[in-house]
Amino acid sequence: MKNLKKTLTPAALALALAFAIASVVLLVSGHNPLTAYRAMWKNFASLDGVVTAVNVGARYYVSAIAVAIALKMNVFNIGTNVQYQVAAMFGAVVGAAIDLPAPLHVAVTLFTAIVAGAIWASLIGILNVTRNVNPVLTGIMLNGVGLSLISYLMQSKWTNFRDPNRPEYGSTRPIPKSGQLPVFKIGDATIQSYVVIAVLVGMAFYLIVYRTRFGFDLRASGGNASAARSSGVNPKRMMMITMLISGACAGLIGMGIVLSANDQLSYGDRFPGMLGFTGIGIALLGRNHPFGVAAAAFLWAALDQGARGLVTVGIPGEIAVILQGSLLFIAVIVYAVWERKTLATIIREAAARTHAAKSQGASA
Amino acid sequence: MTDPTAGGGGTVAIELRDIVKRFPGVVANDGVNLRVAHGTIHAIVGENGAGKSTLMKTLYGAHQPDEGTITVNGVQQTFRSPKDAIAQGIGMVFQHFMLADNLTVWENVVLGNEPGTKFSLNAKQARARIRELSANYGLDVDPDAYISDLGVGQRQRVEILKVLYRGAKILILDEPTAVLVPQEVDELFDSLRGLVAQGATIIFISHKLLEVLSVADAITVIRAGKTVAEVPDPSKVTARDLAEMMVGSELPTPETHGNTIRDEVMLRVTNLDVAGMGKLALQNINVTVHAGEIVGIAGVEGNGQHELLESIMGLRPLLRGTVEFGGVDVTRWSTKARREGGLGYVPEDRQHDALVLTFPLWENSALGHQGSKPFSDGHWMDNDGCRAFTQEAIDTFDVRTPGTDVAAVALSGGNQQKLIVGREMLTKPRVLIAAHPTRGIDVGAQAAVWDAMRDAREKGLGILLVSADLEELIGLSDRLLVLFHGEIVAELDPAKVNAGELGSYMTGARKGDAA
Repeated sequence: MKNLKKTLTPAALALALAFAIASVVLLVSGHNPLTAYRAMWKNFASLDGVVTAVNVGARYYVSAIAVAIALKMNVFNIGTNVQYQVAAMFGAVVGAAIDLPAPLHVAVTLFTAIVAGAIWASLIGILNVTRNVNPVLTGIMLNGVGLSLISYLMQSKWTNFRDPNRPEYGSTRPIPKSGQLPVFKIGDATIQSYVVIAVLVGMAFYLIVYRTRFGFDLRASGGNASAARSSGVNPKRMMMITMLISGACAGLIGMGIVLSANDQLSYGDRFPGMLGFTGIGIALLGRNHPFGVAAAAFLWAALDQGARGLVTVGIPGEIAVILQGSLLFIAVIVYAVWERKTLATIIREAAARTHAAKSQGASA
Repeated sequence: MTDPTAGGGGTVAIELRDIVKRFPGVVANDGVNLRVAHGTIHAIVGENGAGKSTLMKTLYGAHQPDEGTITVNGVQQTFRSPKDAIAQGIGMVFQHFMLADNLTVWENVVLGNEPGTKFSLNAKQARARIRELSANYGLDVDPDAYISDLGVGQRQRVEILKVLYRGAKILILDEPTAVLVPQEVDELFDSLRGLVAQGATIIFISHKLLEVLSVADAITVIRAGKTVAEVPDPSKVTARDLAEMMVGSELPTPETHGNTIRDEVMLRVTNLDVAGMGKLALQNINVTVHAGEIVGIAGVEGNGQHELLESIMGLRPLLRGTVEFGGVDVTRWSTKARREGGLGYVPEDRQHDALVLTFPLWENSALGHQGSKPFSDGHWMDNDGCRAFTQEAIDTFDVRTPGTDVAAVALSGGNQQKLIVGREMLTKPRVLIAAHPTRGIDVGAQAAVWDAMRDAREKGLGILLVSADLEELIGLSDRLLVLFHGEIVAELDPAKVNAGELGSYMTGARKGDAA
């Protein structure tokens, strides 16, 4: 309980400050903050609002976990934002082209996306391991390369990825019924079974990072690369495996959109292009912890959902972006300050208890 | 000289009265009294953690005492920062040098206190002033030499010059001999005597008692934050007397008894060459460690010890040569394979190479052994196994900690070191590569580490020991190898060599095979 309080206090503090900043912006631009927040709440606090936030939050969650796993070894995979798009395109193409029994069809499609994401991310790893290129630089550049690759493949006659029946969408062919992830009705709302995939990703993340030897090596490399090397960890191998896992996870980010019956069922022009970057922010906000990231992902999606209600009271929806942006900004600062304070407390307490043990030992 | 602070002996330069400094949960100084006479070398001795450093920080203004008074030359002072202290002529010479290697001596000395205008640096004036100071105080340093070309002893003199340049008349030296070989220590002491003859006052912090006795005019002993003894005439006490005052109990000695060396070769390094900056860091190194043998590597830091350890652990590429472990050629093995094969490792720099400071102790005790029992089954970590092992290490090596879940960063350096030694000893290695295993740990724990090494040696462990503590090297080793400029220049019998002789081999003054 004490731990929970310690974790939640800085997050709550950051949230309160972010709302304060957004309120100032609202006031300055001549709007009543209370009206705005009431409208946001109204749009979120319904069955449909919450379920939508869960559906969208699941994508954000997978996206953030993809970043978090690399961050555990202090590697910033800034390339997730295009890794997931490359993966979604190949997944959508393969999913539409094959004809298999339902579970196998879905599995092959997801597997394709995972492999595509992992391969695209592995380029960062290979360049780092063989040529010692900074992974952030390669990540950013490969984002550009990846988007060009996607537009080439989508337009090329040779690949024939585009659906000729729906030229106005500029998208791949639709996924047939057997290849779709099931969706479920809750009242008027529709929940995607992709949420289960997100939960499984979270559980896998937790087990790998905190329970396996690999996770130990991963965190040790992040905590002190030099000590990890002395302990027998091969840093190059670690870098490669981490990029592969991170990219594989990134491959799943967009698959809820591609495979859910109530969603796009294809990859194309309307496919969201910023889920990777959003995930980076959410990983930071959730401090790379499976539960923290889950809370952050839901909060982010809830703010998205609430933002749609702002138009009804004549306030620009961008106010939610300001809210999200300042939340992230403040959270990073608050966490850093909080961490330093906690560390000082830990050292003090350890010293005090050591001292107590010492004097006890002396008198014994 | 009209400077009143430059007066001769007799008058009191510094008086600290009833200094109390509390940190949350700890009283670091609990009523310390200190009187330092003008023109004397006054030593402050005490164990690690006795409160010496806290006291010195109080004196040079790094923090303020909670209680007590500081009187300098008869005037009570309050130091809000080191600036205030230097204004009263008090300067600190730190144990770890803070010099820019790529600048010259005079540039380093004036750094932060440059003569001239805002836009131009008066180099001529700076050089002249430094020459004058060097000559006055008998510190032989060329103002135009680059720091990178200077030896450790000369670098220390530059540090002293820095403080003198800022007008200090009272110098605090924190463990100044820790980094020096015996010959350099003698030179330092000559310089200190020269400084005192010119009217300076020196406060000398150390726990090396023989050195203290040879140089100090008066000694103050601190134990557990309190002044426990004042020795106005050091010629009347012995090192043992001082040690007893410091510890309150008998001092352990690092001595091995009997010959436990077996025929089996546990570690063999053959014809090893390792690349360094522009030249070979190691050249044609041959080392053999038998089961039940402790082989000591002596050498001034930076003569190839680091490269040798890393080569054996598989952390550094070799230009030439082989490493055999228990009769098996492991030259091409990964660090992981070597560690799993039973090669224990206590690295030189514990915070850099041996600990993840943010990890709790129980995770740190698995570091380096994370692939084997009791820490894991090779794939899944066994957290309970890690915790139980950690508790055993804590109990055996007296690691002072509130528990196994504390982050390693919360422990003092000595306690971190005890945990590392415990981890490497209790995992029962076949060969232990140990660098400075007792560096920075208190007397009681030092004895425990030595005992553990002796026991393991009797049971057939081969140990390669690198240490800067010559007494420890001579006492524990069965055989001594001296590394100088990346080569083994001598093999010595520790029974027939003393620290002074060993020092002359280490500085390259003597060469050859004396064993």
